[in-house]
Amino acid sequence: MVRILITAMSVLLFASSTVADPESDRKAFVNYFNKRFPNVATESYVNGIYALDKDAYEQWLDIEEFPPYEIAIEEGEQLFNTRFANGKGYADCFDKGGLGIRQNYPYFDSARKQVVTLELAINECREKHGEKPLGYKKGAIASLSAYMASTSRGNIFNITIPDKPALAAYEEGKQYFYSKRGQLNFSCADCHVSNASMQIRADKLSAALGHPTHFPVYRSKWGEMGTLHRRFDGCNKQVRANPQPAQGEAYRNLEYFLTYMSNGLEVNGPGARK
Amino acid sequence: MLNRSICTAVLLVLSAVATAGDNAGFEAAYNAAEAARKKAADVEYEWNTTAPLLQKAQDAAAAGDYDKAITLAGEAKKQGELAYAQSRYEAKHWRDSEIR
Repeated sequence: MVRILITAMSVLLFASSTVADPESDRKAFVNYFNKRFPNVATESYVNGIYALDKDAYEQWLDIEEFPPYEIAIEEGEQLFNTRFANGKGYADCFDKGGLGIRQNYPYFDSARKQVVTLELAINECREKHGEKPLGYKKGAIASLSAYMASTSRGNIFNITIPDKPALAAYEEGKQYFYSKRGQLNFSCADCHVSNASMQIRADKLSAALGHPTHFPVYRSKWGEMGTLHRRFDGCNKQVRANPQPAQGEAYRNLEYFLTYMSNGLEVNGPGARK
Repeated sequence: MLNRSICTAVLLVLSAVATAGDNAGFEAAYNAAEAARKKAADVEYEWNTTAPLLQKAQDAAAAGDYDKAITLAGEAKKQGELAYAQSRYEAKHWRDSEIR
């Protein structure tokens, strides 16, 4: 009897240490940064590194007066409103005509058992209506995403995890986030949790909280717009790991986890970054 | 005259045998490195420094520098093995740095 009880308790303890509880994860994530940076308001994390670096914040405010992503928003709006060859358009593929919906992406498609990001949905819309898919890292897809994000500014991220397959995708994204990789043996968390605000070469590292809220971004280093998966690609290369394909399962799951961590924060994309 | 011709022929044969031996050694080292790289790639843990090393190894072999080619292939093999070991370690220990 005692042995059975011990076994049952062991199983329960094991289960409690391995089964994901996304809401507990999110609260712990937010609390970590709130404790570490007590003078930074939670809602400020949508500003990326500018929430943690006051000098850079002042410069960024100047940039925001004439934001470099404005051209992309205009181009995205034009693309969004241009009909496909079959007479349909992007508005036919999305809830609310595709406007003001960024906060619901990525979502888990239970029928297909996969995470659907906004960029994936844009390309699926194109293919459904007989158009060729766009490249996933920059160019037209970044402009379309920028326009759709701009119509959602101020809306609050509300990523849901509807079922067990969704939870499994969330867990895979979480594992990717915390796993060290590459010749430098760094995880996403090593830079953007443990070393957030620390100097790395000429730059300071941003906090992971709020990361997805401002994408796509105009990045000065790129001299153009880029998607979140383009940034993932760059981060992986910087730690000397082979990147995963943009919009492949690994990066979509990573985006799912990361965006869930930012639930409750507002959409402020597109953004401008160094 | 005849002796000189024989010596030249022997040297040429020996040189060809040595080159073939070096090339076989390189091919073995390269194949082992490529297998190690692929093993890491299959678990999505390949380092982005490994394929360039393999390319350099091929370039060195093409230039006839088999010692260098074999050394580079050996480094690439080591990287593939380390990347795979990294993937196995992280599969067990990634939760150690999780925020709780």
